[in-house]
Amino acid sequence: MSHLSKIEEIRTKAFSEIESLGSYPELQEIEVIRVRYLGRKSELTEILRSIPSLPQDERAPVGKMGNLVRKQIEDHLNAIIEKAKKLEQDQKLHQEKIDITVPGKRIEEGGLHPTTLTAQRMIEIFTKMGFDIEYGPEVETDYYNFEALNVPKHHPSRDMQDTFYMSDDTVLRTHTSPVQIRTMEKMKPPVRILSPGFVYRHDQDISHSPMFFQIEGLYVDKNVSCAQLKGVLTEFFKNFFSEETRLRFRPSFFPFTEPSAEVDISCVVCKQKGCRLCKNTGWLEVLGCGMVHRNVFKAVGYDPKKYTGFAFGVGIERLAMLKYGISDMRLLFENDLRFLKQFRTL
Amino acid sequence: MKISLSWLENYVSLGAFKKNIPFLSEKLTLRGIEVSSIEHIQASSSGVVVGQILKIEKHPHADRLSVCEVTDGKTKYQIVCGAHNIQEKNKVPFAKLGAILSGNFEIKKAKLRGIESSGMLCSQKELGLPGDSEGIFILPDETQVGIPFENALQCEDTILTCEVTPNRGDCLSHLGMAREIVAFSKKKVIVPKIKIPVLPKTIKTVTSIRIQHEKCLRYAGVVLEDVRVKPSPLWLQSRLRSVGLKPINNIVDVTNFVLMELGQPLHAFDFDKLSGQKIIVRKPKKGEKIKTLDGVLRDLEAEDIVIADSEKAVAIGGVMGGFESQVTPSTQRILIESACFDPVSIRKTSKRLKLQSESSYRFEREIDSEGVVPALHRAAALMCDLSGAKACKGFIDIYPVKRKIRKIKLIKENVDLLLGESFSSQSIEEHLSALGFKLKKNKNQSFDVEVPSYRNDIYCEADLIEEVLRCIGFDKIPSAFLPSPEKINDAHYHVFKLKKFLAAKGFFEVMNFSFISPKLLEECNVEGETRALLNPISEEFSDLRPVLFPSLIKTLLYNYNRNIKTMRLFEIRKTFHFKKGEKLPIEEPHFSLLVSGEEKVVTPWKEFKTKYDFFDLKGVLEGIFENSPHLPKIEWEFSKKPFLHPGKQAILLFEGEEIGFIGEVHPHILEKKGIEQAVIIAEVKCKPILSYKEHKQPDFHISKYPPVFRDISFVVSKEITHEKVIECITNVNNNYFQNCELFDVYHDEKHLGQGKKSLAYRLYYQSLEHTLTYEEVEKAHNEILKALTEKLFASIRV
Repeated sequence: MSHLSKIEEIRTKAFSEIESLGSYPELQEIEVIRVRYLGRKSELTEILRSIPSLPQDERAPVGKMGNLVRKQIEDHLNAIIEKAKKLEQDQKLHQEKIDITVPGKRIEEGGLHPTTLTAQRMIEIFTKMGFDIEYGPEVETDYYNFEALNVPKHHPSRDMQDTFYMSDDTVLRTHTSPVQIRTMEKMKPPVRILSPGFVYRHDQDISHSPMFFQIEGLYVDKNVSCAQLKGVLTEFFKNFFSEETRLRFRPSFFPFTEPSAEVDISCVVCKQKGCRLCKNTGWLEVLGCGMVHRNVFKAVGYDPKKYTGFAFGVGIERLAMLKYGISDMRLLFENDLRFLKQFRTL
Repeated sequence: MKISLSWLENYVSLGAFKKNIPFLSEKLTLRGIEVSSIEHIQASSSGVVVGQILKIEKHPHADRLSVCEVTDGKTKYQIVCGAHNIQEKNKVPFAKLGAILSGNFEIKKAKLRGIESSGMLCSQKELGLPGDSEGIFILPDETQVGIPFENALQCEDTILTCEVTPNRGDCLSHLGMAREIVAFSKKKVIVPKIKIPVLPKTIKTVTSIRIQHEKCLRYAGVVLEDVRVKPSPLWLQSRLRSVGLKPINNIVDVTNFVLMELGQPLHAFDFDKLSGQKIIVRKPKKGEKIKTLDGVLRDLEAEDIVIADSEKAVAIGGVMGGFESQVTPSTQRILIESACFDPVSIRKTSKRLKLQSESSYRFEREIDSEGVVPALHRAAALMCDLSGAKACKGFIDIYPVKRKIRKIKLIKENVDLLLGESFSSQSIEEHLSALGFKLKKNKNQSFDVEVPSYRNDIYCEADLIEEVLRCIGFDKIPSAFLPSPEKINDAHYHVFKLKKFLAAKGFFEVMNFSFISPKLLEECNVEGETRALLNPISEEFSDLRPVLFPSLIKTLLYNYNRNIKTMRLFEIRKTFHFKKGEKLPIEEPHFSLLVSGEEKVVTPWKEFKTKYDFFDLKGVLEGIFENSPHLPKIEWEFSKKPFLHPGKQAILLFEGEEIGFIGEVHPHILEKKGIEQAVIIAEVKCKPILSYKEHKQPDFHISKYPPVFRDISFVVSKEITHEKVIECITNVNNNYFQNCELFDVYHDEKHLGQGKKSLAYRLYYQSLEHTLTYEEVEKAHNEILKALTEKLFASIRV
C-alpha cells in the first residue's frame, strides 16, 4: 500500500471514529482518539517521521498530504473538544442550581405612615394641577378659625365642629381653613393653594379621632366657577382611586362657602352594587366644598364683585381608610408596628 | 329631624313618591336635605286587641297581684295582673292566648298562685312601643273595644331621618319639609283648617302681656278656659311617638305636635298659677332663680330672657318652662305662649345651662316670626277640640319691630359666572318661585327677588344662586379645567425626603396625638412649661406636646408589651411652646428618632446579633446631616440632660445654638416603665436642617491615580476623644493625606495600662497629579505619626 493511500485510510478511520462519539462527546474519549491518530506513536506521525527516508519523488506529495490530513484531524478534534468542554461546563452549572425559594438577604426596610403616604399622593395630584402648599399654626385664634370664616360666635354652625379650647379666644384649629385666611391676607389673587395639616375635634370613636389630617384647597381669581370646582375634584378622585370613580355633588351647608356641597364618590368596594361600607347606597361621603362666601372675601379685603373662588376640604384618614380598606380609624394612631409594617410598599 | 310620611301627607300629596320612598329620599338628599335613614314602623305584636277592665279584685294568695275581669266586647276573660295603675272601666291593650308580643314572646294559659290567667294586659314596652313602660298602657276612653290594637294605635308609618344643616331652620318641621317637596313635585301645600270655639269675654279682660326685653322679638298669647287635662287620643300619641317624643297629656302634646308640624315652639302655662294673671317678658333680677320643668333649680343671668308673671319668673324664654306653672291634671285654664326670640340670646342661655330643648334648637336657628300667630291659632283649635275648652275672644300679639321683607337683586350673568354654565332666565324664575320666592323680572336680565319670611338663611345674591343650583342639580354643571398655574412650589418636598430617607434606613413613621399629660412628662424627667386644654378629651391627653420623644417611648412600650422588642421609630411633627403674654404658642417642627432592641448583622464571614447603642442612632443623624447639602457642621457636645443616661448623651450645636440631643434614655425611667433594654432617642429641630435645601454642586476633583493606605494602631489616654485624634491628624500640613477611618477601639487596661485605650485607623494618601511613590507615602505618614506621638502622647503599636 502506498503511503498516500495509507494516509487516506487514516483520515477516513479517524473521521469515522470522531463521528462515532456522537453529540455528547467526553473529553477523555476525545483524548484517546487524539493520541491514537496524532500522538507521537501514531501511524500518521510515523509516516511523517519516515519522510526523509522515502525516495525523492515521494517525499513532497506524502509530506503535503500527511500534514494536510494532520491539520484536518486536529481541526476536527478541536471543534469537538470545544463542544465537549461546553457540555461539561453546562453540566457543572446545572449542578450549581440553587433553591430560589430560600429568602433573600436584606437590610430591613422601614416604612412611612399610611396617612403620610395618602397625603403625599394627594399632594402630588393637586400640585400637578398648580396648587401651591401653604402652612399655618395648629393653635389658632377664634378669629382665624371661625370669625373670619363667617362663623360668628353663638351661631349654631359652631355645633358642626366640636372644638378644643386653649382659652376663650384660642382654639386648636378645627380645619385648615385658617390657612386660607392667612394666605389671602398676605397675597393678592390669583391664589391657588393647598393647606395640609393636622386639625383637632373633640370626638373619638371608630370613625372619629380627636386629631386628624386634613387637606384643603382654595382657588381664587376672576371668573372662578363651580364648573371648575367640579372639574378639579372629578380629576382628583379619578387619579386617586380609579378612572371609573363617579362623583355626586349634594347641596349642603358650610358657613364659609355659598353654594356648598358634599361630594360622594361611587363606593370603592362594591362599585355601587351595594355593600356594608356604603350602607347599600352605593355612595361614600368624602369631601366638603363650595364657592367661597363673600363674607370671607370681605374679611380678607378682597372685592367679592371682582373675584370668585372655590374651596374644598377633605380628611386624609377617611381616604386612607378607603384606599387601604382600614375599618377602624384608631388603628391609624395606635402605632402598632405589626400594622405599620404593612405599609412598606414602594 | 324625624319626618313621619303619614304625617307629612297632611300637608302635601306625596303621589307617586309614596310607592318609591328611596327615590324621594334621594331627591331630598340631592337638594341638600340628607336623608340618613328610612325606617318603616308597625306594631311588633299580633293578637292584641283593645280590652276593657270590668272588675278588679285582690288575688286571694298574693298581695301584689290582682285578678281582673276583662272583655274584648264579646267574651269575658279572667286575667291575673301585677300592675297597680289600673282601674275598673279602663281600656287597655289585651293580649289574648296565642298573641305574640315584642321580642317574640307568646302568651299561654298560666296559673299564678293558684289562679288561672287567660291572657295578659300589656305595658308600652311589652308592645314594643317607645316611652313610659311603667304599668299597663291605659288607652283613651273613646277607644273602641274589641278592635285589633294596632288599628287603634294607627302606628304604621315610614320615618325619614333628615340631617338638616344649621342654616335650614325652616326645614325643622313637617310643614317645612312639605314646602321643600312642593318645590319639585309641582303640588301645593295643604294648610290645616282652623276652627276655635269662642267664649263671649275678650282676652284683654283676663290678662295682659308686656315685653321689656329687646331680645324678645314677638310674643303672642291665647287664654283657654274649661280645659280638661287627660291623655291624648291615640292618633296624637302615635304622631308624637313616631318622631321620638313622649306623650304626656292632651295640652302638652298639642304644643309639641304644633312644634313638629309648623316649627313654632309653644308653651302652655297653668293660667291660674300666674300671679296677677299676666305675662311680662323681662331681664332677670339679680340673684333670681327658677325651678324648671325638669325639677332643677337654675340661676338666671343677665343674658337670659325671663318670662315672668307679676311676681316671679315662670319660664326661661325659648329654653324651658317653669315647674310651678306647668300644666297638671287639675289645670282648668291655660295661657298658650307663641313667641319669637333672638337666636344668639337663646343659644347663650342654652349653652350656659347645658339645656338644649326642641324649642331652643329651633330658636337658635331662627324661626319664622310671621309664623307665630298661625301656630298659636292652630294650637288653640286643637286644644279646644281635644280638651273641650273654649277660648277667650281674640288674642294678644306684641310685635315691637315688624320684620321687613328682604329684597335681593339677582343678575342672570352672575348666576352663569359662578356656576360656570348658562341657564335660562325662565328656569331660574321657575325654580325660585317654586321655593316660595317672589320674583319681578327687570329688562336687563335681572330680577328683584322677595325672600319668604321663613327663609332666614337667604341674605345675598350668592344665596339665591345656591338655591338655583340646588334645584337644577350639580349634575347639570359641566366639569371645567383650570388655567395653567403660575408657579409650583416644592415646600413640602423636603420633609417628605427626610421621611423617605429614614424609611430607607429601616425606620417606621409613627403618628401620635399632639397631646401629652404632665404626668408622662414628669415621668420622663422633662422640665418646662406646657399649657392645658380647657376641654381635653381625657387626662392622658390634656396638654400640647413641647417635645416628641415621650410619645415615642409610649409607642415603644405599646409594642414592647406586645412582644415586639426591636424597633426603629420616627415622628416628624410640630411641638408647642407657650410664652407668657403671647396668645399663640410658637409651633416648632421637630424630628424625633428612637431605636431599641437588637439587629441582625451579616458580615461575609458570620452572622450575629448586636444590641443597638448610641452609635447606631448617631450614625443615622450623621447620615442626615452629611446628606443635607450646604448644612454647616453640626457640633456634638457632651451634655447633662436629666432624662438621658449620664454617660451616654450629647447635644447638637448648630452655629453655636442647641438644636437637639441624642442619648440613651436614663435607666431609671426605663426601669419604672418595665423596659429591660437600652432605648436610644434623639430629637432635633427641623428648621435648621431642612432650610438648607439648595442643591450641592458635586465635587468633580476625582483623582485618576490610585490611593495608598496605611493602618496604624496606638495607645493613648482614655481622655483623648476620636475628635481630638482627627483634629491632630488633619492639622498636619500634608499634601497627600486624604481621609482616615477609625476601625477599632480596644479597652483593656490590664494589657494597655491604667487609663489607656487603643485606637486603630486606616489613613488614605492620594495625589491628583501622579501615582505616589513609596517614599512620598512614607514621608507623609511619618509626619502624622510624629504629630500623634508628640501632641497626644500616643505610643504607636504598629
